[in-house]
Amino acid sequence: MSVVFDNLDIYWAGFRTTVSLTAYSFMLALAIGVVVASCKVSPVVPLRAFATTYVNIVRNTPLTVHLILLLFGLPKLGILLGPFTTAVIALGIYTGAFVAETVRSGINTVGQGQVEAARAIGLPFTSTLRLVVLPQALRATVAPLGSLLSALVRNSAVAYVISVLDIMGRADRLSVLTAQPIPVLIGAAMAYYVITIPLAFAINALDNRQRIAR
Amino acid sequence: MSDGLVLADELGPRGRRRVRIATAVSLVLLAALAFVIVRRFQAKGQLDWDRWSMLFSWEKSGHFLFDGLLVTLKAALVAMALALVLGPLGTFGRLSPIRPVRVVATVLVELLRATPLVLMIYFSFVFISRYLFDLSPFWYLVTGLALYNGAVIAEVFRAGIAALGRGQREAGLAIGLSEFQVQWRILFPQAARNMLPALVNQLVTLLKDTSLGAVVLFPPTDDLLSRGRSLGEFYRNQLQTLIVVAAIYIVINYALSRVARLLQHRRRQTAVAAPLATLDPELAGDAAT
Repeated sequence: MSVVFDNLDIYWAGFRTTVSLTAYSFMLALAIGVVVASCKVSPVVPLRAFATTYVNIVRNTPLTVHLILLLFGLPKLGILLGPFTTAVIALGIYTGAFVAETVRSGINTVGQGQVEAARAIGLPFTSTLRLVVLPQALRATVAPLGSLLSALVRNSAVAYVISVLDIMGRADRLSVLTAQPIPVLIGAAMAYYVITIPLAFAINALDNRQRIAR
Repeated sequence: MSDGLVLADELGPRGRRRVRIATAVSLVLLAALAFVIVRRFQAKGQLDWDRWSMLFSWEKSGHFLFDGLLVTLKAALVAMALALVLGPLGTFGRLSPIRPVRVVATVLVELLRATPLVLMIYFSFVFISRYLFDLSPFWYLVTGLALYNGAVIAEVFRAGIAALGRGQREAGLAIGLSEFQVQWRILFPQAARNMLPALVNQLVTLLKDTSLGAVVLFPPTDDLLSRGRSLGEFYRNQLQTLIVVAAIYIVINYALSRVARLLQHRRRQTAVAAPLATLDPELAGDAAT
């Protein structure tokens, strides 16, 4: 394992890239997800159709294909971006579809009676949404969004195939350089655990709290 | 599919007019978006027919991609079969009354689930080829997928058993079954049936993940994605070929998710007092790869 400890600075650089890759793409995914979910519950038919199409197309395409399609496709359309930005866009688009489904199903967990009661006391649509539905829906969404974030951290490792130097990318190079792939890869797994394991505990805790609150 | 909540009363004349205006505006916006994209493709010559024509010919590319698709499907099915063997082992391990077994199973399942799948496939490749034996890339891919999905499925079954309620286990013990018999003959079959939609959705995730073999392994697996890449290089139309490859994945996965949804509806109708699992099967694939 000394090969890991001798190269901690390389792991640290990869770790920072993984964190920022995840952070940027999660922000993009949240933005896309909220917009698409709003389209999906709106009374406007074309917007609903757009949301359904987006989710069905994006969710059923492998992330690898998203990455490679953007890598080859964008330059051919005259859009030149670095690998990091390309990866952020691919991860954001992909995770956005799952965020949209999560937010929508969060809205669906709010009981029909809640809405009927809100309407019965005369609240208009916007107030019903803002004061009654969304506060409950968001609480139900936090834990699933946490799982999506955890999945995103792990999925971001795929970005190394378009030569982003995240944990996985650095480990790939380091294992070729040192010819000791096994300890190098175990080190990389540890670097991911630093993020994913505390996240899993946090999600569990949130999940339990929310279950009690009901 | 239920549209969920009805957030407002039946719209009045003013509301209906607003919706009509919003419909018109959104149609214009979506059309403009489509127009911009198509224009961009056209301006860069990406819509030229001689970049697309060979993709619609069976001799020139159809059969080549089809053979790749068969490899993709085979990898997904073999990995799923192995994961369905490993998964219950993990579940029983975690629910075992013997403490050391429980601890080992919990640690293993949690670690496997917390590892990026790419890393796992890469690792199985390096580890097996160095210390054990030489296999084809197909089997390195399947090993990585089976380990990861085994852990995911172990959790799916565990959630399914947890959703059954204590009465089932207590009744089993009361009539004199052993702990193992209760798990294997009473809890597991019910959980498996309740979790069928979640399992089909996991198969969709797994099928998408087989594409990692085309980019992580060297030499790559001979699947749909890597065949698409070779074809795109050969005809110099990567963008077009990849779009066709993506469309193939979409059609197959969409069909599979429809099956999952159908199973779920059937189960809701026939569910005999079985408490609904807390997992939303559409989101259960916590690995959103």
